[in-house]
Amino acid sequence: MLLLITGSKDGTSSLLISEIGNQNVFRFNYDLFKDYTLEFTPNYWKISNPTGHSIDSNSVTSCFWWKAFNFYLMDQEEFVVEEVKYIFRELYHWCRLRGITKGNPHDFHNHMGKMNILSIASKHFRTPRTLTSFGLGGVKSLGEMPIVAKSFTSGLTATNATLMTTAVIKESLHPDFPWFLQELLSSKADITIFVCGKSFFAYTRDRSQLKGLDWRAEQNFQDMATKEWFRFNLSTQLQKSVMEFCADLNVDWGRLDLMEVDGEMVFLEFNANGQWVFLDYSNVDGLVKTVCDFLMS
Amino acid sequence: MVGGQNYLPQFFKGRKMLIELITPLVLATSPMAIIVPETANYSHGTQMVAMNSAKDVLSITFNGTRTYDYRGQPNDSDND
Repeated sequence: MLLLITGSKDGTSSLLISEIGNQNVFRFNYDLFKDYTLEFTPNYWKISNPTGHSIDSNSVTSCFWWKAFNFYLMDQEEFVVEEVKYIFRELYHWCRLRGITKGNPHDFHNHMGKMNILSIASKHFRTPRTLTSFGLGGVKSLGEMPIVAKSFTSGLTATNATLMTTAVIKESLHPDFPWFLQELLSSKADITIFVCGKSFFAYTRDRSQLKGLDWRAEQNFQDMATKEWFRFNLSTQLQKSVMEFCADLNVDWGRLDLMEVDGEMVFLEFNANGQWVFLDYSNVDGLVKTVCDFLMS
Repeated sequence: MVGGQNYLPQFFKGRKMLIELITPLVLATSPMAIIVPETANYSHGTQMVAMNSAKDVLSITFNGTRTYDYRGQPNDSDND
């Protein structure tokens, strides 16, 4: 049985269960922790939901963490929140230590962030010139190259705003702030490659109609019948580069983001727990089934 | 033109002017809102949220990248 650690409102999790079958999955929702009965000792654990459906350390065959902490516990003391989070992490790592977790830990990027991933990627792909700076250190070395500012965390400001990829002028950057800068790339297409086990699903999105630089800021949530991402076949060389990159990073799950620049693929970033349903929400490419087979393998 | 954006540095080339310094906070913009339908009720029986289409899937879960603390403030995000 698959232990799916997630949040109750997550639609991707519901999609997975509809494909795998309710009886083959136990959904453990972080935001509904009070609904469950948990018995957890160092060598045994069992979780039951209100209907009596249960999973334990003997019946679990795989474990997948999906966006559990993207939801928050309402009306709880900070102490309770942190205790519950600790327990969810411990349960996940109990499975990880026994080699039955699928995908990547939710805190993967706390140990392998964008700069280090770019370093690894540079052995397999062309990568953009990138600089992280305090006190504008290293900014002069960028010369006259046009640059963009990006965010490491996609975190929110106090006014609930977020830094999307934005063109900036080096001379206007305030020295008292952290800057994540990258060369501005002129590209006709965004590329994303979803990695699921040994399967790679490559998609391209036209940039010619973008008003800004970041496709994430211009997604069409109102008309999802309009396809924005189109699947294409990876070249032999690109497939080899993706395979070797994943081997170096020791991953078999996640999403690589690239851009096509003058016919060449330029690596931008790897998302260890990136979304993927949006690539194939009509389910014509079989992403959901492939993911389910991967999770149950 | 890159994706509709003017190439700003050309405008400033050769011009001496007082440039107001910018910060990441000034550049930040409101992200696209993710609206969770009021009718999105979870069932322990089915272990699913009632959905009618993939649109519901994406409206609930798309691009959720940040983790949250007890105040609903973003914390230790896992990136998208």
